[in-house]
Amino acid sequence: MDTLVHLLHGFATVLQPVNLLVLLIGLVLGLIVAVLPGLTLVMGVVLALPFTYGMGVIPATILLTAMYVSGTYGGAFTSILFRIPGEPIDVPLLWDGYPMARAGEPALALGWTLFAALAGGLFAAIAMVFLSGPVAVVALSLSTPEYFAVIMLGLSSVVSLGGSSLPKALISLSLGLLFSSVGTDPTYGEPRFDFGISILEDGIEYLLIMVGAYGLGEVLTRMEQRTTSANLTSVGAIRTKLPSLKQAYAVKSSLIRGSVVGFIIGVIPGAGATIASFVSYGLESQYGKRRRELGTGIAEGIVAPQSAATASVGGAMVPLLTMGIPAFMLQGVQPGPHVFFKSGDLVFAVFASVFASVIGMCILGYFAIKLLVKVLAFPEAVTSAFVVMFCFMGAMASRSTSGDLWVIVSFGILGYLFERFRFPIAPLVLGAILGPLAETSFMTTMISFSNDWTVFFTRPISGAIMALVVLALIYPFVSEWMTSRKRRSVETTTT
Amino acid sequence: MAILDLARRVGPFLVVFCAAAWLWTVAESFAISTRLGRAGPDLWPKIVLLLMLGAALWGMAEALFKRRPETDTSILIANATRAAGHEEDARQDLAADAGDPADRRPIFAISGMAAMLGYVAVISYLGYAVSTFLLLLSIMLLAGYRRPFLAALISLIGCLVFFVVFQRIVYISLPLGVGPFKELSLTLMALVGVR
Repeated sequence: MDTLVHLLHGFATVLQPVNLLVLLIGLVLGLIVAVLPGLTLVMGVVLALPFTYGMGVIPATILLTAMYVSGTYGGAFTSILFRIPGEPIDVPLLWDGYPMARAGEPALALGWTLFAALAGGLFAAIAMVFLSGPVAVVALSLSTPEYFAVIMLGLSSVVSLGGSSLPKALISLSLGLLFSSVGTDPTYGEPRFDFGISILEDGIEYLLIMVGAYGLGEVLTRMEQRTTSANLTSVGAIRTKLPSLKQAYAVKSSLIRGSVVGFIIGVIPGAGATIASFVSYGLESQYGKRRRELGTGIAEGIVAPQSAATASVGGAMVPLLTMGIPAFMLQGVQPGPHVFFKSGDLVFAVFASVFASVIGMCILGYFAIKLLVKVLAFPEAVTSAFVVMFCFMGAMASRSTSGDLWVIVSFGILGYLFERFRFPIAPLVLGAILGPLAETSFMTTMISFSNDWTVFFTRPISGAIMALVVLALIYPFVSEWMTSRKRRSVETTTT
Repeated sequence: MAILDLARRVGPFLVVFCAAAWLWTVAESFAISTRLGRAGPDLWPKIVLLLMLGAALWGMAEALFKRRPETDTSILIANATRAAGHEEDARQDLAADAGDPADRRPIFAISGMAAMLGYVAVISYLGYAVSTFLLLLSIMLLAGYRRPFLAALISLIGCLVFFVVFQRIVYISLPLGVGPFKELSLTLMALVGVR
């Protein structure tokens, strides 16, 4: 009952005129970012971060949440209508959404994405409200060894995030961790890796790493490819037709499966909507009632990936609120389980903003999509130039030092080199964000337990989490071994 | 050709290995102000460097001995698409989003880097407005925009908008430049109502 009362307070906060305006701006920006092929969703959110400096913590969080939620949905339109996935999230939508549109039902295909995004998003929002609190209570009872183990679990997700080369993912992760250790050591106050350069003495802000590697790196890669804008011929024909209740009831299994899978994958730090979308489509092809018809343009092929993508946002809120959210840290709110008890109003405002974003996104998607899709015709060269300026703006807004501009360009070049040599960027950013938390909890444990590193494995909770870490690390090898064994047996049967 | 290909595959890992080894020697020199036997400020960086050294060695070994083609998709995505029978579709759709490697022209990326580095180098001399105008224009042209006059107009409007946002919305002091560029910046500031 308390939860519902708090949630109502959260809605009252979100529905204040200023916050509602911020929500609308976030939704529109998220849809535009998702539609534009040159901009990724993560990049869009990262570029918006510096603008939140001047805002209060609640509007800032509402803006970023709205952007992220609507970003998981906007690209569906370009995927289904033009076969242009605005985001990798939308690639699975091509496989059934585009054939359905080609078969003369583009409005219904768009209606299915709307229905899936709404249902998946609301499911995850409800699950988030009721699960985050208990997770925070459990988190409060943990000590530094357990914290370190939880962070290790987050870091171990690089195995699933990185490309097929695990060494590259690990190098990327260790670089992120190393960059986070530049500057004054948090335990002893000793300078590290600053090489006498004043810019490095205060450390490298993870925001500069994120904005540089994702934003400038992507622009440099796009400049190398010199991609052009899309040729739109059928924008005038866009409309959305919602499925009937009977049709919607028929896909309930796909919807539930997609939403649950999306929520669970969202909880894994750094995994996000893209993996949720692909995995949900994969599961549909294995367990769906009409799995043999997948790929021919059936509703299940749209509902499964779209519901999972939107549901992953709700899942992502659980670790973000219990472990850390950049917008919170930028606003001086210490993230972690305490935030539930010290800043309960804030947390429930975030929850309410997820609900409002899901509903607002669908309303906006239904009525304004014809206008939004027109941004596809915008020249990518112009978008790139403005992305660069937004990145520099982020660097200037962060500490107002010109040294940060050098840092951000350096990370832009590093991001480009990562793309060029096919090193994944996500582990680098994950390492830079979680690095300071990992080091502090590790060093505190080592000092408190007289350098006894076995404590991470002998304490029941941290031991269990570390076992999960080991499982996450060996999973790719087991998976690869099983796949190659299966392939060999198929080859033997066919010969 | 085979040696070039090998160098391309092993090179990045070798660079990482050498860099990590050098950083290890740097970490050795951190001032240790703790009691003997207690974990010092070098411990965490050394653990990270060990991970980096190990990963670089592993990468080199893989590049030398493994023939499996590398993909950009994560293991979870690869498994899911394989299960759905869309492995090839996913590869093509994701590759289409990334562009054809054959069409890549690194000279434009390198020029883009030069433009960005140049921007940071000259911003304190030319001031924010002029250097931003030049950067916007050069990025647009380098990224393939073929209408220079329109690009110049968009750059002009863009740099003025950014100038106003910095001065009137996020309140961040900008480099004014020197000499005539400072005069120009001060005039612009007066125009947007900043004294």
